[in-house]
Amino acid sequence: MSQPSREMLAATLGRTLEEAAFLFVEAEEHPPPFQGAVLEARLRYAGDHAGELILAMEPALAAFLAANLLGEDEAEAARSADAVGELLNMAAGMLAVELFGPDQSCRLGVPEVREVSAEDHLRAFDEATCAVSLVEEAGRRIDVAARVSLEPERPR
Amino acid sequence: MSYSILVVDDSSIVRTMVRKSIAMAGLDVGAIHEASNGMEALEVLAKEWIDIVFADLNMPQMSGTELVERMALDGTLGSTPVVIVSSEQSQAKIEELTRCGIRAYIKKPFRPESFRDVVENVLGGKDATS
Repeated sequence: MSQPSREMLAATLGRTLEEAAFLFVEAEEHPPPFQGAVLEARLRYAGDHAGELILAMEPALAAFLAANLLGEDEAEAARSADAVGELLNMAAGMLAVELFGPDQSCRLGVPEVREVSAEDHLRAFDEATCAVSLVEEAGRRIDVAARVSLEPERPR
Repeated sequence: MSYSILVVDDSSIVRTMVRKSIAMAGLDVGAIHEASNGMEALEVLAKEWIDIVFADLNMPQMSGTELVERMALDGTLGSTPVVIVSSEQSQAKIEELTRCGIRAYIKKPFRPESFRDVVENVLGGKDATS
């Protein structure tokens, strides 16, 4: 069993975005600020330790990723939140194996997505146990973070 | 033979991705039904003939695991093959689900050909995991 790290978060989300949505990203120490509200997905997990994963991006990038997931030129706006939640779900599956190993079971919750102000998101991002910002080829920012709790939690 | 398929996932974008993957796989598909959780899936199964079920694991109201267990207890539905399509990747989980009676497991993110391989193997009488 290991604790989540910035490298682990960046690697699992990067692999997910590449395989599912054909998007290439890299970690960025000084990412551009978000321009307005962001779509923020949260998903709880529980194995030998428990915690919550957070994924956030601007709605325009989420719409772009939704279209990529579906192999379409553009997706309906309503698909954007669904795309952020599902991408976090996919990354969580990979991360669970990294954290707990292939032979240990880890319960994953159902992703919850909501639109929050950039300030509210950054507060959660700063308070996370570990967090990393990524940028894609066009320079748009994607945040991923993990909040580890010592007490076991029930996944939502 | 034209297959009747049920896709169960609380994410509408995943249901659409699965639909598209099945269409791209070149399978002879008659109807594709959708449900957003295990409870809705049981309602569809009560009304429609379904050849194969593709179900997510983590869903509100009724999970994929509960759906498999409920189907196994039903004399008619117990023989309908269920394939789990999930982001969970632990071997322990897959083995637990196999003991519950699932016929195959497709990991997310998936490729369209996974569905062709699984349908051909499962409905051809062989177990498959992709």
